[in-house]
Amino acid sequence: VRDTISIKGKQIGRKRSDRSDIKHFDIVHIEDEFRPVGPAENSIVMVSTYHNGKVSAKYIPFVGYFDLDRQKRLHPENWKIIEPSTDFLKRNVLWAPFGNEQGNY
Amino acid sequence: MKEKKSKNLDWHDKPQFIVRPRLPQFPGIFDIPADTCIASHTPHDHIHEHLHDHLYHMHIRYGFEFPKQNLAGIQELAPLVAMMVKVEHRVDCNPIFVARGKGSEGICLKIAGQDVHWTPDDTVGKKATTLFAKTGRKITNGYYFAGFSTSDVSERKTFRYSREELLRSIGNGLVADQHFQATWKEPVEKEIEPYEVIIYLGDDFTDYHTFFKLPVVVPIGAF
Repeated sequence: VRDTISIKGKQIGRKRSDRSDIKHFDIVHIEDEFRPVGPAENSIVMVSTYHNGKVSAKYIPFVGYFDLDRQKRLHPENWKIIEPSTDFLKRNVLWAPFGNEQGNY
Repeated sequence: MKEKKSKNLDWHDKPQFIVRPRLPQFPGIFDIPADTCIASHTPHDHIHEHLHDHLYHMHIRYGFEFPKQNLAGIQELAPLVAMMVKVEHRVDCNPIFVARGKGSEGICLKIAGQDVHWTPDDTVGKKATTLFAKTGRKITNGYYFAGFSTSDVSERKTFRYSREELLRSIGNGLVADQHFQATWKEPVEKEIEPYEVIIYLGDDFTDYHTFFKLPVVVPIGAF
């Protein structure tokens, strides 16, 4: 059983889910260092909120708004850019930095 | 009287923005030793300007020189770069470094009063692919050219420099190092096996361009 952590950072985007078990994916820029228990400083993570209340997070290789611009251009109906970014804090998040349970973005 | 025909321009009469690849100049930035152009790293502590220190990544690094040149016929341009990497990888650019800074950090080149950054540009990847094909070579199966053009610090759109700004920066010649980092498009807990990378350098105004290859192991005598 993996521990849960809090994910704290700045939300820069949201992706609509096409999965029946997940409500949505939040894209969060991490500003502080939380390793070894959480994400790294200046990383970007995808936080998945499930319909059953579970929340998990993993790294994605984005480096900034350009990546969101590109996704929005490719799939405008699925992506929302949040700019300026807003404070984000989610507790009891299952942290799986290299997990694949959320599928591709 | 015989009419005087106009003369075709020779290649050296056309506008050119000359850039020459060379070995890296500044060892230690991002903990890359002097004689290394390609290096695969596992996740490590954060280094300022390092984009993927928390992921498995492969450093791609080379030196280059803008020799003294008059930039005749150029009003403004954006330098371009593309590198041939595996399709399962993405590449992100660091600024251009002109010296080593504190610890493992680099000191960024400034042109027009701001750090020179890069933004991904798919048209540059296509341009490099076309120019590479004109040399009679094909992209290796499973690889693609990831392209970039210069940008402002937002890294969201291309930024072009005026001739005057370029001349002021280049002066009698400018030598710098360029770092990139490749990482998995879908992050996984797996090291990237180092591989050689072909680089394209050019610009969005002139026809001048160059290709060169970064070896995983730099040959004896190169330094």
